[in-house]
Amino acid sequence: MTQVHQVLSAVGPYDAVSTQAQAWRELLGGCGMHGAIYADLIDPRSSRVVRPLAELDPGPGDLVVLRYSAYAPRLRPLLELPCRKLLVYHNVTPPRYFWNHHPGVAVACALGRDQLPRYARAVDVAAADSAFNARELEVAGAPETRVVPILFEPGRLSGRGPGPEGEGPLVLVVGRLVPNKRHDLAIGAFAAYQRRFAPDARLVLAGEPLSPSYRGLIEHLARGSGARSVTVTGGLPQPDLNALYASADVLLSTSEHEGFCVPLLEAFHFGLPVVARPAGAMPEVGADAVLWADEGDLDMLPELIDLAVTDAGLREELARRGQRRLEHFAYERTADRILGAVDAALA
Amino acid sequence: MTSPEEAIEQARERAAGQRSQDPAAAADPAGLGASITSDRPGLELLSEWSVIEVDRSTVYSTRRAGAPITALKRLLLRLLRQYHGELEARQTRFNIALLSQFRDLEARVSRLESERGAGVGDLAPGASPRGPGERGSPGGGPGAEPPIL
Repeated sequence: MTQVHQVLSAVGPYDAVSTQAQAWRELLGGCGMHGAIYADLIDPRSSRVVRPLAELDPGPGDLVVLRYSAYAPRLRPLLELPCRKLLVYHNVTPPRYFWNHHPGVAVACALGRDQLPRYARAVDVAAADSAFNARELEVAGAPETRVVPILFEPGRLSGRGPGPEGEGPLVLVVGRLVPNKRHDLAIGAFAAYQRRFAPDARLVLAGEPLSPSYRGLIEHLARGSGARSVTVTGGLPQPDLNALYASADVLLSTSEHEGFCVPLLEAFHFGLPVVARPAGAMPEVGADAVLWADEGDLDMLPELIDLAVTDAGLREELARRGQRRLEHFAYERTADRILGAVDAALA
Repeated sequence: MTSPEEAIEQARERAAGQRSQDPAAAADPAGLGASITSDRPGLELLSEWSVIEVDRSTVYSTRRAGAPITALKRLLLRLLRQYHGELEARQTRFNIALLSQFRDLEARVSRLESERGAGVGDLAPGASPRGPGERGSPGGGPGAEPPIL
């Protein structure tokens, strides 16, 4: 029986690529294509679900799915394996965001982007989770690229942890605390919103930090902004994140670079209005269900937050459009695309 | 009911109005912007990075109840401070020397380019001032500077 093994450069407990690998494993396992997840770098908190890359030993009839999101020194030899290979490109963040904050990550990003062409040309099938990412793959020389969106599982969003404390409109920012997400701009927009519209408003920044010192920097920026009631939670288990979505009044994204942006779909699931900058793949994911600020006009953000919080009719319309986007990314629909890509790679 | 498109237009107008009335009240764009460089850093940043100095706070554990592990790792660093100090010094010495050589080469290339530019100002745009296979300084004859690459 064919096995489908997935390989990641690194896995962590709360990142979208690791979550996707697990979702694919369940889907493919249900179709009789079992396999494990391997990674070069494994966060200790994920060590139970992932195996070290050195243990990977696929048979000639197996498929290796390479999930590409950064450089890892031991990934390249996999291109020589005598089995079929499917590349799934999740995007590699440009290194400019990391040189000053985490040189190691910056190097992994710089090399990851430089070496993408080698992977794009060597695999049997190349796929990307958004058209934005697919364009980068094509530029890298992939002969044919499929768009296979993130496999969105609403079931993950049913558990509930404890909700946040306090009263007042809750502005939520979800995503790893990394420089390309520009949490500094979210804090600035929230500070302006709080000052002008809702003195009792709260801001929660939920996401695993790049490092403890980077988290300290964001907390320092929050204190310096004059904003009150700002909470930096760090990485959260899904039930706790679900509770935040359920309690929030608006999801805010000021990110500058996104290969997909799963929190958009999660917000749509909870009927939560989204205010965002149109970065990377976000417009193709959110389409007309998001209140987009003009690029370069950050002053629109507090205004949009206020409208999203106070205008009930607008919230209803955004929720309705969000449901339509969820239909576009429905589990069955994406599962068909995944199975199509796997079949093509095995053919 | 306000449609999302109307809301965006309304926000655009309100933001413009806010900017004209009270520029100080606009959203504060200060923050990380200055720390985001270019994908291929220039000489100034390279100079800054050539001096190896690692912040001890970058050593930590992400394990659950990882505080004792973090403390142990930092203790080990402290115990090995002499070794790491020497390692950092040697790497910094190499980086600075390499950067200095690179700067010299860059200055030399600039000088050669400007000399050549001054000598071939009447060439057609896009025409190469060098002959086929020629490398190095103008003329390439005896007494000319050696090739630089």
